[in-house]
Amino acid sequence: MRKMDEFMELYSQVYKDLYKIAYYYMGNREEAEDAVSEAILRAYENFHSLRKKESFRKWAIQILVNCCKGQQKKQSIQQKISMKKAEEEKLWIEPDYITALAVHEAMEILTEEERLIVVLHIVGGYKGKEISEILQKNHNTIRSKYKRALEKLKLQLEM
Amino acid sequence: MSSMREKKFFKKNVDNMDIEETEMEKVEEYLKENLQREEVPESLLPENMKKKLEEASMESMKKKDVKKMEKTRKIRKWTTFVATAACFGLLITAGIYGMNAGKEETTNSSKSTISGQEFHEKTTEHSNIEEGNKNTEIGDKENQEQEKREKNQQIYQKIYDSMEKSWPVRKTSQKESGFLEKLFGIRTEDLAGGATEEAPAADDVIESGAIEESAAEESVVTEGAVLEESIVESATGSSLNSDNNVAQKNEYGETNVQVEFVDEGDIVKNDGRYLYQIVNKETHDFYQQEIQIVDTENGLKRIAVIDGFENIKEFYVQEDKMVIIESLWLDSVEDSYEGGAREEPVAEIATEEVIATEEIVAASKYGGNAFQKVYVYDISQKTSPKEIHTFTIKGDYKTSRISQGYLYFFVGYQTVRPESKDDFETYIPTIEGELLDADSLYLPEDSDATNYLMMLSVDLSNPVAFTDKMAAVTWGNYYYVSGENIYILDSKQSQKQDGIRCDGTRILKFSYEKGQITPVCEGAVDGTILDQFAMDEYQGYFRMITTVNPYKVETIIDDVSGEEIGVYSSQSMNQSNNVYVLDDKLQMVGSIENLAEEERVYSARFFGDIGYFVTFRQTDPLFSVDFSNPKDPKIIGELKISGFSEYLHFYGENLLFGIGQEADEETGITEGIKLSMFDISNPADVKEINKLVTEYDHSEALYNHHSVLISINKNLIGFTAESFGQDYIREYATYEYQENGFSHRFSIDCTPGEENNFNYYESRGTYIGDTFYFLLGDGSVVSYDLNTEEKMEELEP
Repeated sequence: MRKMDEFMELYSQVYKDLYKIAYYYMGNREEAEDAVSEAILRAYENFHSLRKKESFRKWAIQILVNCCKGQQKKQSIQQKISMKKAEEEKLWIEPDYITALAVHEAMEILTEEERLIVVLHIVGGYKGKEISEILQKNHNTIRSKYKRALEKLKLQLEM
Repeated sequence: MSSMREKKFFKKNVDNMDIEETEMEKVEEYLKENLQREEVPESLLPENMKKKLEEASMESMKKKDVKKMEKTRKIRKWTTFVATAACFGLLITAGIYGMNAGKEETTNSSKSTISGQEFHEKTTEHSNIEEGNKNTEIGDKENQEQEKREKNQQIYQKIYDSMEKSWPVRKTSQKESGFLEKLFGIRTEDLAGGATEEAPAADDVIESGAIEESAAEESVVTEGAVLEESIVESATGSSLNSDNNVAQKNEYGETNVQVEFVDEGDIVKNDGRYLYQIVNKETHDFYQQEIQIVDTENGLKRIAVIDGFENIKEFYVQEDKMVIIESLWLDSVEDSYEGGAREEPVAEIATEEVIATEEIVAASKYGGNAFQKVYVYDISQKTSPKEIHTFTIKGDYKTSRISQGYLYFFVGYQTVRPESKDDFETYIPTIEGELLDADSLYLPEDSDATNYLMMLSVDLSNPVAFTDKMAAVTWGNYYYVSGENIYILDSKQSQKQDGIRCDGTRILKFSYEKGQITPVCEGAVDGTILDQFAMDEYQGYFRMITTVNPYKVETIIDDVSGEEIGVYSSQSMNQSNNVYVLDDKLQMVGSIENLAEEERVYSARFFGDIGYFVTFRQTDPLFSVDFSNPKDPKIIGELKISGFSEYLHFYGENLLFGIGQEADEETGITEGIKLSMFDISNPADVKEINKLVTEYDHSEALYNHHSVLISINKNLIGFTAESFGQDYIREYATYEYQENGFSHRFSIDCTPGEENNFNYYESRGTYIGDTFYFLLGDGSVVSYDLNTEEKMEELEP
């Protein structure tokens, strides 16, 4: 079971971040869970194609992003709205739910890509160049989108 | 999150950015604090995820489709390319030999051109002979090329016109041309130049010098090689038992084939001393297979293993060659798109590893992801098989045969509607990068097929290239290969009178000799054929038994508008069966129609002038047909018994053995696997002289003749069967036949159980001399003494 052990070791190092990225991208727990599950399944299937194990995290995130995007497309607008509402309701139980809600709503106003870039940086800790590799986009594009995202958030959060 | 990561990734460059940046930082801080809260759901925790992955692996293992190229496969291929560079020296040396041979060839061809030119000279008048020579030589070549091009154009056009009416209408394609480039990171134009040159070179190198390396890459495991070699040298197939007639080889079980001397592939092979089998490794990771070679002399010993396979369909052993046929599929490029929108995807890492040959790229672009690999190994040294050459062919595997030293390989090739009829690659097959020429294409009259059946031949004494290629436009559903001819059958519609239609069968006949495949003729009959055993070639005549299902067809007319709405078919007419005799030009010379109404054919077998077939509804008439006068075939016997046979096998001079099902005579409900022995000494009066109804419910023997072991000399009948009683049981059961009937000899349990993780492995039984061997798909071999019926030895997987 050599493959499984190796994979699980790598997985245990990254799974929390994967989930967080998925959560903020998808906007709710269920979908994030689904996305991560699917991504890991695919990652495991294709594990043999990953040459450098050090790149596991980045590689897994790439797959995750793909899954998230795929999942997003599957949903109709109605579904998205109702899931969003459901998630927001959950936040009421948080101790500082106002902040939680505010952040949540703020993230919603970003485009998917902007959200992704923000999450990858803030949560994943990736720098611009790394993000551009993950998303296969030009570094400058990433930078300017990030800036715009922060501006939007700043406005939304009235900071 | 690592504290070593920097907070910001902007470069501080401009002063007036400072304010903005501080603001930014504030936002970032805030976000950082508040985007961290989420607790990971339980299902994603490592312990639980591990379970999920294990379950998923079990599931995918059960699926037949294999979507990945394994690492070893890739390593071998990549190292082959490396070997190309490394063995350049060897190539040059080999090349020197090659060049001499090549020189002769060019001399020959230039000789023929010169003689052609000489001929030309004689017929025309030239003043300047020198230049005239050169010009006509080039002119001839050009003419030849031109002719070839024209011929090709003509047939391509014909094929296009034929397929045009049958292709489904093209949907607006979601695959842009740039898509493949992104996915594969290569340019298809580059491939056209590169791959076709590289791939053959690499293979040549394997052949000339890199055999050691490729053998190593294959991770051929040799156990006790030194010791074995000496044994191999001393024993060349003859028995070492001194009391036997040493010159006489021990009798041994061979693949149960339909036509004598035309070999068929199987999962197990026996050459009289060595046992070869496909071994399925039990792993949760990938579908992994190996081929193992077991020496049976003086006990069972595994002496060689070729690993790195995923999906072997079947293989052959022919003297000192082994041919392995593997079916693979490309990664489906559509998987990564949900909804097919044009947003750029994040590249999936898997793309690096796809081997980009032009054919395979074309495959994914043009529909149909299946491709086949045919490996030819040199096994003159049983302890170290050496790969000679591997063919890669786009298409899906139908069947193959080996006859007189040549492999005939049949592959189905799909086409899709092209955007323009100049887009040849979508509807004309390519082999190793080149479109097939007119003389390798065959378009039958009024074909409705948009597929080809490609026949490829390989000379096993020199298996480095295809000897011949022939692609016929046909769906290719059934195949029959005699010692000289290939018959391809596919279905079509037959029009009868009074608006009655039925399914029919179209037959294409090709002759073959020394690898050359030549179209002969076409024929057609009503009805559909059961399997390869329902047809037979004898003394030039082609005999067949079909089941006919006619139905009425009405044209529906709208009462109001008077226009034709369409056609309505009702399946209401009586099923029946026909016997046909066609001559060597596939013209019908004799037939018997409307036999056994309301029944269909379950089995058939021909032998010389007599053919037997079984139909069934509630009882089994076993028909005897006399073909001694091809123009007037006659039913001479009709034996009604309960149950039915699904496989018939001649058992000595006057006996016909059948394996099938017993069934209740009133209801037709099956009651168990039945062995029958028929006395056919008088075909007009066939008798079922013995039968044995076993407690088994099902067996592979009912539908796969390779799984049946029958040896008249050893009085041995064997097959795997299952019982679905209280407990599921699976056993390899052996029987013998004496005058007083069938008796059970011994059974070997192969029920999937806890000890082998409930894996279901294929099995075969065979024998060498007086020893019976049971081979299971996990690589285990068990031997039994046929005299004492005691287990002798067991070789663990």
